[in-house]
Parts: sequence; C-alpha cells; structure tokens
Amino acid sequence: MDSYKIMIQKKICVLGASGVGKTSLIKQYVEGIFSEKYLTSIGVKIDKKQVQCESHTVQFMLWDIEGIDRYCGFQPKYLRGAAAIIIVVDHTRAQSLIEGIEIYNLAKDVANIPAILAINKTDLSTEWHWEEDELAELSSPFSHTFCTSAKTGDNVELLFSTLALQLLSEAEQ
Amino acid sequence: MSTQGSSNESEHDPQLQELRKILFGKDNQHITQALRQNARAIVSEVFSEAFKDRQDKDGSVKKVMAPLVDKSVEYSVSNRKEQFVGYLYPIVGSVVRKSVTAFLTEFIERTNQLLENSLTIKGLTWRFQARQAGIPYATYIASQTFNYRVEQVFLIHRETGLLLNTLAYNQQSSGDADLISSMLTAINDFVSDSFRPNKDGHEQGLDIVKTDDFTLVLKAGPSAILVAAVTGNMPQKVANQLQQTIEEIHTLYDPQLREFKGDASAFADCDQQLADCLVSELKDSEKGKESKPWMAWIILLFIAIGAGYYSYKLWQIQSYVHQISSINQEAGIMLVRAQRNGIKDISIDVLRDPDAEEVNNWLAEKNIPQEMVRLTEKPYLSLEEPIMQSRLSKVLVQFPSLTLVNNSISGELDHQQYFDLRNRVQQLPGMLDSESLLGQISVTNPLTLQMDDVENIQTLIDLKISQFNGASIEFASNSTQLTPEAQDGIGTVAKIGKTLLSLAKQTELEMSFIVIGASDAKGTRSYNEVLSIKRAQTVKNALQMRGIPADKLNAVGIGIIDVPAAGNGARKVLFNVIKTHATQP
Repeated sequence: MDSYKIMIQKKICVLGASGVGKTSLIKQYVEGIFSEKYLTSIGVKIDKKQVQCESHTVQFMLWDIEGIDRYCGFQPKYLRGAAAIIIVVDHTRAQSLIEGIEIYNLAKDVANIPAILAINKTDLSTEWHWEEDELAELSSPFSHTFCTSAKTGDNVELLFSTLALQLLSEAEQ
Repeated sequence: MSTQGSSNESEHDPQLQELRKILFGKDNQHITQALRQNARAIVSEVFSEAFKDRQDKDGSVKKVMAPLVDKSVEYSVSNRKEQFVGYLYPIVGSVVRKSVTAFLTEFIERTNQLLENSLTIKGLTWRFQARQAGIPYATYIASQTFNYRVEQVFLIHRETGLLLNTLAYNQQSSGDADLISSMLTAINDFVSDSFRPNKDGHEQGLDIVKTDDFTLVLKAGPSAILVAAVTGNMPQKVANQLQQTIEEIHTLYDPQLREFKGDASAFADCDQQLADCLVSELKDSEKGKESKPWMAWIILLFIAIGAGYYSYKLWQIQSYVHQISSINQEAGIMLVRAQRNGIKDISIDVLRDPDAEEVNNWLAEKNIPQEMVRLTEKPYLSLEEPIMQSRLSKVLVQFPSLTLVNNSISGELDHQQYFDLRNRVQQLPGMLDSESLLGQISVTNPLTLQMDDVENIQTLIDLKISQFNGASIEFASNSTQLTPEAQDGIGTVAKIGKTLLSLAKQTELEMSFIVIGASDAKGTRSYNEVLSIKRAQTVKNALQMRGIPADKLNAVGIGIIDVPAAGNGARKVLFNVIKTHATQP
C-alpha cells in the first residue's frame, strides 16, 4: 500500500578528527551538492538524505563538521538542535580513536544526544593497537558501533538506517 | 488452552465425543445448518460496519474492492455506454469549457509576453544586456520590470535549522530549500560565533545578506526565523512585513514550534501568512502595460482584418461568378466555364456569335470589373431569334423602304432590288423560310409587266407550253408509286404550270392541263388501262399538292402504248396543255 508517509526531518552532526573520512563517508551515502569551499570558510558542509522506514520517511540533514582536533576544539553552536551525532574514527590510526573519544566528550557537554561510533576505513588492513575488550569499553557510551568503509560502502547504509529506526523509536516514546 | 484440554479429554472419553456428535452433528452439521438459515439476516446486520472496521484496521478492504470496482465500471462502460455518457456529460462539459477558457486567456497572455519580450526594441536590448551580464533572461526581466519582488520566503526552525515551510513567487522554487535553510543557519551560527556579542550582550545575527542579484532578509523570532529572498531594491516595508509575519506565526504556532521534533506537516497551514510576505512592486513605466495585452490584441486585430478582407473579397468574387453565369441568357453567347482563381480573378470561356453583344460591354453593364476577368472567346453561329433579327436588320439597312414587323418584311421594292434582297436573305446562315419572310413585299414593277409586248408574252407562253408538253414522269413496272426522281420532275412541271397559269391571266387565255397515264404491253389490256389511269391520278394529286388548282387538271389513262424499240415500253405519265381564249375577251 503506497499510502502517504509522514516525513520527519532530523539534524545529524558528523564529527571526528581530521582525515578520518567523514566527508567521504557522507559522500558515499549521499551525492553532495554544496561546493567543498564551505568546508574551509565556515567549517561545515551540509547534505541531505531520505531514508524510507515502515511508517515514516526520515530526512537527515547531515552536518559534516570539519576542522576538529584536540587543540582547537569545535564550534559548539553547530550541534544545536541536532538529533544525534556520529563520531568517525580511522581504523588505521589508533590515535584517531582517542581523539574521537575526546570530541565525543566535548560534544556531550554541549548536547546530551545519542551518538554512534563509526570506525572507518575498514577496507585497509592494519595492526590495531587496541584490544577487543578495551575497544568495547571505549565504545560503551555509544548507542551503536559500526565498522564502515566509505570506499566499499560496507555498513554505511546500515549505519544510517539503524540511526533512523533508533530516532523513530525514541520519538514514539 | 481450553480447546487443547477438551481435545485431550475427548480423546480419552469416547462418551463425550459421542455426545458432541449428537449435539453438533457430524462435522458440526447442525450448527452450520442453523447458521445458514439466518445467514443473510445476520450478515446484513453488520455488513457495512464490518467493512468499515476492517478498512480501519488494516486497509485491506480497499485492496479487495478496487479490482471489483474496476471490473464493474469496465462492464458498465462497455455495456451501458449511453447512461455513462449521461452521468459524465455535465461534468466533462463544464471541465472542457473551463479549460478552453483558461487556455485562451493564457495563450493571449503568453503571446503578448513573447511579443513584448522578443519583438520590441526594449525586449531585444534586455536580452542583449542579460547576456552581457551573464544572468538568465527571466531574472533580468524581473530586475528590470520590478522595483523589487520577494521571490521566496523560508520559515526555518531556529534550534535545528530545519525547514518548516517555504513559499515561492513562481511555483518552480528551488528544490533544495531545506539545504538552503540549513546552510543559512550554519552561516548564522558562524557569524554569531565569529563576532563579539553586541553591547546588550545579545548574539550577533545575520539581518540582511546582499548579493549582486538578490537580498536575503532574515527576521528571527525566539523559535523560528523567517527569511525572504528579494530581487531589486528592497524597501523597508518588506522587512516590516516579515517582522509582523514572524510575530504572527509565533503567536499562532507557539506550541508546535516548542515541541518540533522534525515533523513539519504542522506548519503546512501557515502558507497564508507566508503569502503575505510575497510582495512586489512594478516599476512605474511597466504598470500600465501589464494591464492590457495590447500587442496580442493588435496581432489578433490584424488577423481579424485580414480574414475579414479575404472573406469580403471571396464573397465579392463569388457573386461575380454567379452574375457571370447569367450571361447564358444573352442571345448568341454560350458560357462554357466560369472559374474563380483564388480571390484575384475569374477565368471564363465563352462561345460568341459575331453578331452578339461584346462580352466586355456586357461585363461593364453588370458593373463587373474587366481587369478581374480573363476572357477566352471562340466564335460560333447562333440560330437564336434575336441574332437572326440582328443579321436581317443589317441587310435591311440597305433597303430603307422596308420595315420589319413581326417576322415579316413589308414595303415596296422594284424587281431588281427584290431579287437582290432575296439573294442576300437566302444566304443568311440559319435562314429557313425566306419565302414567308419576303411574302409581304409588294414588287412595284414586276418582271411580267416589263414585257408589255403581247408577242413576247406569246413567245414565252409557247416556250413554256413546249417545256410542259415535253415533260414526262417515269414509273417502275406495274407500279403507281412516285420515285424521288419522279417527285423532282413533278416539282419542275408544277413550276412551269404555275408560270403558265399566271401568264395566261395576263394574256386573257384559258389554260388547262391534261395528265396522260400510259403503261407497257405486259399484262392484259384492261388491267393496263386501270394502271394507266391510276398513274395519271397520282401525278395529278402531286401537282395539286404543289399549288396547281384541281380544276385546271385532267387525268386520263390511255392504256398500253406499245413501243417495242423503247424496251421498257411507255411506263410513264405525259403532259399536254390545252389553250383556249377566254370567254370574254
């Protein structure tokens, strides 16, 4: 039955250390239309993507927030009104996980919203410095953890559709 | 659970099973039968409600019904077309009328716009300038014709930057209004973060963003921001209108704004408020023009004048063709073909007697312009009465003493002139009865009176008598029928006879003619006598017919004239003149 679905819009912020592949991850998910120049000027790039769920259509406004590292922090205003954040870390660089956790903690101070951890670049093989249980401990504050690859597209769709379902179920409660 | 329990029990208790069989019947027969009897009443009682309940529950009724309805409609359409047309006619009629009216109005508007934009010098200049400036022509027109125009308004949720509603001047608004609103929010955030708070401690916020082509005006409320994209020189009143509208929206939608969780459908109704912001103002010089699509009307007027002129010309030439076809009533002119070539000229083919009226004169008489007529004329001879009359009149011009009344000529002529006239009249084409035509003319100096000498008349009489006596009419063997040669012979004899009678009058002589029949020697004498009398009688009758009075004719049969040397014998009729002096000299 092709009945009319209610459309829900959600603002999602994508955060992470430089070079972990946030932009590539979003690009894999949507075809961006804004020029990359926004990144350097105001430090945010916005894309949108619709996800069809059973009863609703969820439209994500994806804010790709650039230029974060442990020294300069980030623009907390950009997080305002966001429904969730996605922290992206680099599978090949253990350092990026630490930075990701730091960013998460910064973000948590500004807005207490669900967060998803995306461990990106899983298409590249590497020696991972973290033990499984250490990783489990670090990722515990996150509602979901996905091992993604922006290059091959592994788990990217899954990440966003899971997020959509999670936000919908929260809304129902 | 209970069924499970009872089935277990029944397995163990054959008595209970037996009882059930008695109560319910085999395979629950009794129950189903009892239900079946009242099935109709039971079902009809809850039929509609059940439908509605099920539809509300999972919408499956619609799915089941749709194909059934399709089939029934299809059946009705193919089997009862008339009724269906009847049902639909009032709707379809008004729909068609409306859409045709709308189409015409739009067509006129569009044509006018197209003409004004592309044909006028101003339009061409604008097109050139738009190209030079590198902006779309439509945008350039807007900037030239409007002092300002609000192209689009966005209502944005302040906290999330999500788009709540948008309304555009032309319906094809930018499809990425939601991206634009997020971007604007990000820019606003960037600005408020990058500049120090103002004196009152409020955050800095965007108020107006100006580019070459347009101005973005932002009016922020506590929970929402209203943004207008304006082209042209925006007056202050636009900003005031925005301020008023954002306040109004806050009043009306306060709870929805507070509890916004991403579902913008609650704000679909604020179109009315947003529409108030879509204001524009025409440049003074453009105001008058917009009101009337005069270019289109002028073109339409030209078309109408052209069509009117064409139909007038067509009507005119058709009436000329109609008039020309009446030329057939003119004596001596035969219309073969009259055809219109477009609206410019008519080609006609006629046959014309040289004595008939000139075609060009006729056309001038009827007020048909000759330059429109391409005439092809071929001569012919007409036997129509007026043409004959005209030919005769031409001849009579030379005989002024004669008058032509009622198809006969009267007057006096001398003998010489009479013969001259008779010759000419007989030569006229189509002249059949010249004798009756000329009969009334009195010849003042007849031929006979010229010969006053009695001796001369006598000589003439003798000559004619010898001619008469020498004539004979041949017959076939045993026949009284006149051959064509015989007829000719009788004609000649009759002429001589008449002349003799007229001469006899003048000379006071009595003349009568003997017609003598004869036969050959074949057959009996008495038969041949009868045959000879019959032959004589036949010839006498023929002469009588040709104008010789009966009392001047005597027919006699003399029977056989045996002339062996003649071969055929004398199968002929001979003539003789008996001349006596009148009783009273």
